[in-house]
This record gives sequence, C-alpha cells and structure tokens, in this order.
Amino acid sequence: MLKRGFLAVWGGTKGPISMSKKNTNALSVLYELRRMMRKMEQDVGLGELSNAELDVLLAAHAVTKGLGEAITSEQIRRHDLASDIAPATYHRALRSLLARGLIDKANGYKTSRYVVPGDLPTT
Amino acid sequence: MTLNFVIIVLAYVLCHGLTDLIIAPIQRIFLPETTIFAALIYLPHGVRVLATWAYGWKAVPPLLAGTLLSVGLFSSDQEVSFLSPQLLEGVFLGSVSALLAFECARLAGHNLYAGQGRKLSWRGMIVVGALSSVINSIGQTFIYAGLIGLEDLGEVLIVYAIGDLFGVILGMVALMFVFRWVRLFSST
Repeated sequence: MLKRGFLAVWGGTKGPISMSKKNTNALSVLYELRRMMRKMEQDVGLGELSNAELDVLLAAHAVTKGLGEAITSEQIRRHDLASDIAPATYHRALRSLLARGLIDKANGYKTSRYVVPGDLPTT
Repeated sequence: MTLNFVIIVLAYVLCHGLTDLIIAPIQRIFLPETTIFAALIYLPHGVRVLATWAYGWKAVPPLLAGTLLSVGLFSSDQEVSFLSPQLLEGVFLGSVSALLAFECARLAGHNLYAGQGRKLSWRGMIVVGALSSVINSIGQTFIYAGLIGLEDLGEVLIVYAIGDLFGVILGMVALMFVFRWVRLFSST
C-alpha cells in the first residue's frame, strides 16, 4: 500500500490509499514537493492546460471562421464550451492563453479582439 | 528515518559523482586553480537544500555521511592530503549551510521548512539556496584561506557561490522533469 501511495504522489494515480501516520508525514513532503514542481512546470511554460483554458482555447478556435480572423471575447464567451465557465475563471483562462501565446491580441481594433494562431498546441 | 537517510546519502553521492566526473574535468581546463576547491555547478548543493527543507536538522547527518562517502569515492589521495587540515571543517560547513539559511529565514519570521503553514514556492527554494550558497562560500573561503593563494581568494569565493546556486537551480529543473516524466509515464 505504501508503494502505491508513493506512486500516487509521484505519478498522480487516483484511488483509495490507506497508510500509517508516519507514512502520511513522509508523503506530505512529497505532496508539497510535487505541488512545487508542478507550479514550476507551469511557470516555465511546460504545464498542461487546465480544463477552463482548454475549453476557452477550443471555443476561440471554434468561433474563428477563417485563419487570422479577429474575434471578440464575447464571441468566445457565448460558445457552448465557454458559456458555463465562471466569469473570473474565464478571464483568468483567457489571460493565461494570451500569456502563453496560444491566443494573440488582434492589431488595428479599438476594442479587444483576439486571433487564434494557425497551430493548435499538442498538450 | 533510515530510508530517508539512505536516499539522501545516495542522492548526494550520485550528484557529487556527476559533478566530479563530468563538470570538474571541463572546468579544470578553464579554471585549473579553483577546481580543487569549488565546482562551477555543484549539484549536491541542491540535495543539501531540498533535504534540509524536507527534514530540517535531521538532514545534517546523512548529508555529512554523503559528503564523506563522496570524498572517499571520488577524491584522489593528493586532493585529500592537500585539503585534509581543514577538510572536516569544510565538510561540516557544507552540510549545515542550508540549515543555517533556513534558520536565518525562520529567525526573520519565515518558517519555510516542509509541513509548515507557509508553503515554499520553487522561487523561494532558489532564494534559500542562494542564501545558503553565500553562507557556504564565505565560510569555505575562510576555512581554506591558508591553502588558497591570496590572488585566487576572490575567484574561489565567487565560484563557490555560483556553483552552489547553479547546483540548486539545475537540481530543481532535473527534479521537475523527473516528476513530469513519472506523471506522463504513469498516465499512459
């Protein structure tokens, strides 16, 4: 069981785990380390997209009719994939996608418009 | 603690071996005078910082054991006899340098050890690693002052600090990839 617990912390395997208090303390260090490393991955640009980010990206892609076409935040927001996302989460996801370069700001518009680059991420 | 002891010792010896067998020979070409004292990338410092973060003062004995084992395995007799008057002081300071940095942070009101209320970020870990590298470099330069030529003193001090800091950063990056690969591997 201990081995399974360590594997869960290292690899993210889901499932019930039972272990002693001593093992739990040892695992809490690994949990903290894993959280730290996961954050590092995200900060250096290696982290996978969150569900909200993926939904917003796919919604933006879906409402883009042609390559390089500028779209509004409202268009993305109205799409089925993004309409259920809480406003704060949506804006955070949009900002994150902009920061990662997965969505670009369109030039030449007074209000904010966005462009989905030609290549979709593989993550 | 036995398993943790072994893990820390093995991690230290592995990192020391990589430093000694790969990094030091390359460095010796460019900085032959300083290489015996300090490596430009000293990977075991990452082990010191991470082990101390995880286990506090309990990490010191395995770090001492790992260092002594590494010296026995990787240092030549000439190197040991050259450094031997101050070798133990140097080994001890290196093993407690991360503890001193974490204790400095604790005295300043930031208890950054694992399992405390305040969760340390990876940037924070590198900052603590940098602080401990400064403590270590100043201390080691004092300890080996009699052996280092006056003209090399500044260079050795800087190489110590840079080597320890790069060791922490490289160790963290390596660990990040290990976690990432294990996660990706386990999900396939």
